[in-house]
Amino acid sequence: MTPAMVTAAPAQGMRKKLLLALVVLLLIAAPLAALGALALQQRPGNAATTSASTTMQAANALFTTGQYDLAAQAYAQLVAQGHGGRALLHNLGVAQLEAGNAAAAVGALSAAQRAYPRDVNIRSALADAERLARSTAAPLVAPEGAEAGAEPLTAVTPFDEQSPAAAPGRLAQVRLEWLSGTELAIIALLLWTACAAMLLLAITAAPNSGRRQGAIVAAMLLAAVLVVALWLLTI
Amino acid sequence: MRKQSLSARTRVAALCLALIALALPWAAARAQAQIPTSSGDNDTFVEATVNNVNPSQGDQLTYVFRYYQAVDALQLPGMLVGQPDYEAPEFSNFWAEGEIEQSSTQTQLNGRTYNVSELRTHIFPTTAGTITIEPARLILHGFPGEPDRVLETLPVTIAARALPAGAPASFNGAIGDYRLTANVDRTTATPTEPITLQLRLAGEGNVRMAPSPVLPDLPGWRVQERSNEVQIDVIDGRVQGTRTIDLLLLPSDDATSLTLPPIEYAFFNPATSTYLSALSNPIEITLLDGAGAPVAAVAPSAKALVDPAAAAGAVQAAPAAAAEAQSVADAAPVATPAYTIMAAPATLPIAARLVESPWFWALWLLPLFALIAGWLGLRTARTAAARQSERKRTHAASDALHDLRSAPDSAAAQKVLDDYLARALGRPVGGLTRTGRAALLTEKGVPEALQARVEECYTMGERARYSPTENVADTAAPERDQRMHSAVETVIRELDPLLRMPDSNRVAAVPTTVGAQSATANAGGAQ
Repeated sequence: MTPAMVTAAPAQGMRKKLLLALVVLLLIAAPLAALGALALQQRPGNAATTSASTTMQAANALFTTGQYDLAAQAYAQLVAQGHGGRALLHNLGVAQLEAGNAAAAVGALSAAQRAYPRDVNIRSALADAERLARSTAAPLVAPEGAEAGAEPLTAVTPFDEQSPAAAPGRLAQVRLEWLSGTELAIIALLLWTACAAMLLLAITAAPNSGRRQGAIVAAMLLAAVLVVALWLLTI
Repeated sequence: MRKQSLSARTRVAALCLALIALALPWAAARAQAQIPTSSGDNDTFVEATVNNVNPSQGDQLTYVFRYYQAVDALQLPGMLVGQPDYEAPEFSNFWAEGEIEQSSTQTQLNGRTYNVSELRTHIFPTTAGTITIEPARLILHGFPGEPDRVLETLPVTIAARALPAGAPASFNGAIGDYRLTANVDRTTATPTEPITLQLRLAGEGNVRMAPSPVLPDLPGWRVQERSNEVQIDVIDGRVQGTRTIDLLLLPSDDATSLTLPPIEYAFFNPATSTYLSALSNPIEITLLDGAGAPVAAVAPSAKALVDPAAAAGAVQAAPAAAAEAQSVADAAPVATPAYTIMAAPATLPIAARLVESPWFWALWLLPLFALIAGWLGLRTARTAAARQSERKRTHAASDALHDLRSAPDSAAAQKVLDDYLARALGRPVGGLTRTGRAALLTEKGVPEALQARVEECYTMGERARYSPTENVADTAAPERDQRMHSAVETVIRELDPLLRMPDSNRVAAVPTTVGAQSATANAGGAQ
C-alpha cells in the first residue's frame, strides 16, 4: 500500500463528515430560521407601537364607558395601521358586537380566530356574533298571525353560508378552528424539510436496500401531507 | 491678421464675462434659498406644517405636506422614473379622517419660481398635551439601477389643549358643532308593527368619533338598533358629516302610547370653547290595541325626560355649570357590556403573516439546497472513489514490477503477485482458494490459459515456500527463483491490460482480447 492510499481514506471520511454536517445544518436551519423570523416579526414594537398601546388603552376606556362604536373605530384604526395581537383583535370584534354591528363583528372576530384559533374567548364571541348576524342579516319581518308578545322578528338568511367556517371540507374547518396560518406555514416548512431529509437518505442509501425503500415511502407520504398542508394554507 | 485674431479673442472673453455677470445673481439667489426641510436641496425640497399648533383636543387640524420643485431645475421625466411616492406620517395620537386632498400651485421663493404640490390630511388630536407628528417622506425614483432619493420633512409638534372643566354629565366626548334631529316612519303603532325611529346627528367635526346619542328609557318598549351609518364630507377644508341611526321601537305587552322625550346630546365646541347641548324634537307615538283603540299613555320614567321647555330650540348654548346641573338627572346609565375586553399590552405587536413574507418562502430553498448539496457531494465522493480505484489499478502493474525487482526469493515474488491482484481486482485475494481466484479472473475476462499460468505461479511459490531447505544446500533455488520472477513478471504484464479495461468495454472486448492474449500466452510459452 502506497502512502497516497494510506492518507486518501481518512481525507475522504473527513469530507463525508463535513458534507453531512453541512446538510444537517441546512435542514435544521430552515425551521429554526422560520421560527426566528416569526419571533422577529412579532417583536415588541418601538416608540410608535408604545403610543399605539396608549391609543388602545384609550379605546379600552371608551369601551368600559359604553362608547362601543368609538372604541371599535379606535381599534380598527390601530389594525389599519398594521398593529395586531390577540388583545387588539379580540377587543375590536367584541366592541363591534357590543355596538350591534353584527357583520363587522363577525369579520373582525373571524380574522381574530384565524390568527388565534384556539382562543376560547374569541371563539365564543364569534359564535355570538354569528348568532346576532343571523338575526339581523335578513330583513326583519313580523310573521303573519303572530300574537302580541311573541317574538316578532325572524331571520331568513342562514349566516353560515357567508362564514369562513363554511369553507369546503371538514379538514378545512378543523384547520380554521385549530391552526393559525403561521403555525400551518411552519408545519408545512417542517414537512418539506423532513421530506428533503428522507430523499437525501434515499439517495445515500445503498441501492435496493430496505433503508432506501423505507426512505422513499416516507418521503412520498410526507410529500402527500405537505400538499394537503399547502392547500390548507390557501384557505 | 494678428490684430484680427486678438480682436476675436477679446470678443470671446467679453462674452464670457457678460455671461458670468448674468449668471452670478441667479446663482446667488439659488444659494440664498431657504430650505425648510431636513433633506433636499434648492431645486427640490419638502416641508410640512399644520394650520393650528395649539388646538383643543379633538379639534380639527389640517396637516399640509408641500413638495417644491424649481421650474428651472433639471427634472427626470416622470414617464421614465415614475411618480414620486408619498409616505404619510403614522399620525400616532391623531385620528385621520377623509381622503388626502391634493392641489398644485406655483410660488415665488427667494426670486425662484417653484411648482408646489400640496397634500392635505385632516386630523384630530385624540389626546391632550404635546404631540409630535413624525416626518413625512417623499421617495423620488431614479433611473433603473440608480438608488431612490428620499426627501423627509421635519417633525411637526403641536400642543393640544385639554378640554376645560365643567362638562355636563351627559357629555360623552363629542367635539364639534352638531345638531340632532329625530323622526319616525309613523306615529301610530300596533303590537305587531314596530316603529322606526331615525336619529340624525349632523354638523362639523369628527362625526365618526362622536358617540351615538343615548335614547332614554321607554317603559314597555324595546329598542333595537338596525343600522348606524356615518357619512363624512370635507367642505372648504372642514370635515363635516352625518351619523344616521335607525332604531326599531318594539311594543311589549305592557306598552302604552308615549311621548318620546327630547334627546339631549352634549358636545364641546372648540370654536367657542364651550360645552353645548343639542336637543331633538319630542315625538308623540300612539299605540293602538288589537281592537284599534289607542292605549292610554303613561308618563315615562322621570329620569328619561328633560324639561319640554328646553326643547323649544333645537340647539341651545348652555353655560357649562348650568348644563351640568340640568343634565345630572338626564344622564343615561352606561350599559354593562356583556363581554370582557383584554387589557392593552405594554407594546402592541406588529401584525405579521408569515406566509406573506418573501423571506419565509426563501427558507424553503434551504432543504432543496441541502438535497442538492448532498446529491452532489455523494456523486463527487463516488467519482473520487472510482478515480482512486482506477488510479490504484493503473499503477498496480508498475508498482508490482518495481517490487518484484527487489523480491529476494519465490515466496516474495508470490507476495508481489498477491498484492498486484488485490489492487487490480479491487479486493484482497490472499485468502482465496484456487477456485475463488479463477472465478474472479473469469469475471474480469481473463482467458483460461492465462489463469492457468497465474495458478502455476502460485504453485511455484508455494513449492518454494514449503520445500525442506533447512540445513540442506539447495543449489537449484536461484534458478527456481529466477524462473518464478520471470513467470510472475510475464503474468503481470499480460494481466495488466485485461484488468485495466473498463467494465463497460469488457463484454465486447473479451472474445478478441481472449484470443489475442491466448495467442500471446502461447507465443510466450513457446519461447
